[in-house]
Amino acid sequence: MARQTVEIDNDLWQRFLKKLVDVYGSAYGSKKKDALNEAIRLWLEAKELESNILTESRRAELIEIGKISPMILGLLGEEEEIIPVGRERKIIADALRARLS
Amino acid sequence: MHLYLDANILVDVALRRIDEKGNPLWVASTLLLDEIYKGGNRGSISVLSLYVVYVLVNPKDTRNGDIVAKEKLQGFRSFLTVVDLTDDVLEESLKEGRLMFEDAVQFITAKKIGAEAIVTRDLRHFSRMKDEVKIVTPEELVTR
Repeated sequence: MARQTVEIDNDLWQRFLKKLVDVYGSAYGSKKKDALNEAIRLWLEAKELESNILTESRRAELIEIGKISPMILGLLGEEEEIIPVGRERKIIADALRARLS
Repeated sequence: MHLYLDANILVDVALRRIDEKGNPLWVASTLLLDEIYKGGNRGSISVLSLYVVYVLVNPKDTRNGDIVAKEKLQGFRSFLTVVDLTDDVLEESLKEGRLMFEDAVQFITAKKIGAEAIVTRDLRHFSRMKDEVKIVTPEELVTR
């Protein structure tokens, strides 16, 4: 754990304390510490996700401006499909099961 | 560099795949395939992966889906080396207790051809094998 002193916007801080009381019934001690740690972690995750999206956007631009071979572009699906990582097998299993029924 | 591509890299492209958060997984995989197509790297796949792509592109088993899926398969095999799924590979895969069967087929195939890295989205599945072969995502490989 690190002890830091920083200036915080007063309105924001008051809203934070009010929400702490609403959620935990207290704005002190470990609840305050846990909430601040969670806030910082969420901010970091949001910024990292934003950074990943920017990187992917730059890559998508490369594709759009025609730097990709037409042959490879021809392999791309027409519309984006949502397939969470690790779910492929379940989708394959469902498709195969449907064929057999 | 000789890369062995897991089925999910082909799926990324063939289905223009995004994840549940909206991240376009297809972008890095498309760039990687383009690098391979242009000769920057060598790419190999298992014949099993082509079947996975076929089923996912044509999940409803329709005539039109069959035509579209076959076009994709023709495209992939035109510039990627397709490695046969032999009885030897099956036997070794069945004995490979650290991996689930399908991952074992991919891993054994990659080892058999001397691939320098397996490119996959499922790093977790292959985490026990990273001392034997490099395991990477397409994002790690394509130029940022």
